[in-house]
Amino acid sequence: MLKKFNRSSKFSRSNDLDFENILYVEDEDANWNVAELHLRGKYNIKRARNAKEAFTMLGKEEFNLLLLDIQLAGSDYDGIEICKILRKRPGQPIPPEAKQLNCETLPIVFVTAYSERYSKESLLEVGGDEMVKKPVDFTRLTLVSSRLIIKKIHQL
Amino acid sequence: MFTLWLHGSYKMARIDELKANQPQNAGGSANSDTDATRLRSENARLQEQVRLLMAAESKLYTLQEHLNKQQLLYARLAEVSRVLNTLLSFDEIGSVLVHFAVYEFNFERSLLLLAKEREYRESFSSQTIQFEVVASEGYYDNDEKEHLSQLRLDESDLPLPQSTQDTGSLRVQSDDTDPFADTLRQHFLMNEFFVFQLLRKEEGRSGYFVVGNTREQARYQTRVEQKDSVTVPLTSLAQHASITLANVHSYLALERERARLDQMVAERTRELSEALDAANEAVRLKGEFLAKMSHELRTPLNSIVNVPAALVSDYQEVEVWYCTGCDAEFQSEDDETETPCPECDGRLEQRTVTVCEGDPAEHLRFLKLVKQQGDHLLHLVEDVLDFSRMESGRVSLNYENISVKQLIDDVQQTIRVSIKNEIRLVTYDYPDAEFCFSVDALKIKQVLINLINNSVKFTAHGGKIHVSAAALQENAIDRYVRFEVSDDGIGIAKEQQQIIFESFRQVDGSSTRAHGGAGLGLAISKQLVELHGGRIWVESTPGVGSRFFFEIPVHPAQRFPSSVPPASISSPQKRTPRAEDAACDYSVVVVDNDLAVLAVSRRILELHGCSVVTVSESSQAFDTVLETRPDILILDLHMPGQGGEAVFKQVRAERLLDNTLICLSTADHTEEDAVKALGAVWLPKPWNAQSLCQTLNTHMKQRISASAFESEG
Repeated sequence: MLKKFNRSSKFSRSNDLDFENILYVEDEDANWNVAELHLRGKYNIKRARNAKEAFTMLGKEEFNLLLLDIQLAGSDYDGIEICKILRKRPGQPIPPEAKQLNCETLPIVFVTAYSERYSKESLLEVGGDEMVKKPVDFTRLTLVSSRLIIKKIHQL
Repeated sequence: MFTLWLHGSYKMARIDELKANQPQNAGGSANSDTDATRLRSENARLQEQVRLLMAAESKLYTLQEHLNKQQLLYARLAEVSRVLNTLLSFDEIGSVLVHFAVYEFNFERSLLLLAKEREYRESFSSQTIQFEVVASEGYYDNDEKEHLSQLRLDESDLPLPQSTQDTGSLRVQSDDTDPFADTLRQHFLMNEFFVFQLLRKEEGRSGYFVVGNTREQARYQTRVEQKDSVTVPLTSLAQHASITLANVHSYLALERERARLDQMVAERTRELSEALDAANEAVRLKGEFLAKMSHELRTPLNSIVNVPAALVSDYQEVEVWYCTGCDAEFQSEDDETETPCPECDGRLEQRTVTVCEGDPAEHLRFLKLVKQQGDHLLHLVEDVLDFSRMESGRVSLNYENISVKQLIDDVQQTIRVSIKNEIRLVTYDYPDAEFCFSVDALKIKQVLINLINNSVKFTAHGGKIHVSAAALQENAIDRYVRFEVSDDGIGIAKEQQQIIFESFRQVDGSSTRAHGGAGLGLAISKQLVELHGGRIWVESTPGVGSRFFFEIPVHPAQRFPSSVPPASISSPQKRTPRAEDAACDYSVVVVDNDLAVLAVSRRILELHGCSVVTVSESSQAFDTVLETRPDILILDLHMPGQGGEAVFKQVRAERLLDNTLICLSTADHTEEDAVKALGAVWLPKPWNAQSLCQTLNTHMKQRISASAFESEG
């Protein structure tokens, strides 16, 4: 049984699925675009450009995972400081907009090109759960994210 | 002792004689007159003898006393020598010496003159040695002391025989009328004196020891006339003093040397510790630079690696049936192959088609992103390579004549392309447009572009950037071209102005990522300008703006009448009115074992109007070239089998191919010099359309103008 073949593309994007919510804090447009391209079919991924936006968004809705870039141009806090604030680490002053947040158990994955400067240990030390180097291996990032999300669900 | 004994025996002999004469006197009473006369004469004789005896006795006593004194003197001399041996300064030795001379030898005055210290002498750069008074005794008048402190004598003032090997001495007596004697009397403020020479020049600090009297006064027992009794012990003293002074001299020289060494060691230690600090700082900066560099390289790689991976998954390869007649395509659910085309009854055949399930608009967006990030990465790598090449001094300049106008025009073209998205006003001003000078134009353009890009970074949207160039004349010989790039941006703080040109200081990721480059622009610019013998500097007021200047000297030998070079350049330039799509319509042969390179170069060159023949086997290269006789031959340097260099030599040996421009291309940038040494055009990989066309155009232009020049000549 032959069917006429239509070459024109028939792309469809389903946004209505019940995906996990991921927040990605990233100042660089290129990096955000690439991450969105890779993760949009798997997660409901949203972006914050700086610490302030991140705190606001974390306050408004519930996220299952946080992806954190370390160097954030135009942000009051870099990724490491954001992590310390969310984990309520002693010695790290907490800005007013982050006072109400309750993110001590939110899985945090650092996504950074500064792999020469920060070791994975030092990032776990400040409260991160994982570190993924740039250029990002999205297969690994997806595996890591799924593992952390499932782990958290099991803890609950 | 011998004299004493002699006098003693003489005395004994006289007494024996007297005893022998006594009985004679007692027995002679017969002739009283004669006896009386005899007795009288005898008496007189006896009396005379007693007198003589007394005189002898007294003389003996004097002698004894003198001897005792001498003995005492020598004992004192020995004591003084012992004291002198313990002293380690010229002043102390001097005081002991003159004190001893006056109080032991009973002279009225004494002086010690020593040659001035060598360091001090040398500052006068005079060869004659000057002597000054180091110690004096017996001068009580303040005016006299003042005179001594001012006294400076040359060697020639003291006419001592230079040939005297031992301590030379000079005696001036009160009745000497020699003019020298009078001069010295005035110098020493003595009427009669001895001068002893101490040491000779080669033994260290030479000097003179002077003892003497002002007047012939009775209380001074020691007179200069009493030659031997004074000169012998004084000479001995002077000799001893000489040795001591020589020792002190050596000791002091040693001490000075030790102090100097100590100081040197301290200095070296300090220098080394500073060098260590600097090295540590450099290592820290390099480490920091590496971490930042790695960050900068990883950022564009993120897009370059991941975008294609994502887009590839949007494509699918599908097996379809197509009609050989009407080209309609069908999908079959069961593998039914013998059906004819449902539309035209034509024969169906199978083929694979690629279907894109993604959004083309999105694909285009991401392809653009990858291209932009790729360019950025290339720019970074080039900057870093440039920089490291310059750091290791492996950059040479290719001087060419260029007018100020053309230089600025080229920069303007490049800038217009690269910052077209920035809403900034860049203005240009070059009063000496036709001024022609010899520089490595590419490198000077690079400096200008770096400075402009730097200004763009620190100027807000809507800001103004002004570029100007002027030929300036400092004096009859020194002429230079001064370039200025000024902006009304945020400016640079005073302390920052010192370090912005320094290596490894300037990697600021957030600002460079938006504008390209590794942030090494200023460090590279400084090196390029200094390679030309010029200088670069910045004047800036924070909040008002910055003005970057650099000057390139114009060497007299490289100055040309302004009319000639632009004319020779402008004619071929008409063929390439715009730099960004520099057309080049040459015949080109490209030899490379990498098929991708061949495909890309064919595409680029054909787009720009060239006719292209590609060869992938180096063994076929020569034949193809000989057959096509192209304008340009592009050879890969590293090919399996026959390498690019071998092909190059083969082609160059063929006279028929003299007009072919040969470019050697490789990704190994360390081979630039080797390629240039061969006489080939250096074409570093990777090259893009613009760089390739520009390089080819530049060299073809040179070729055309050179041949035009030859035909004219």
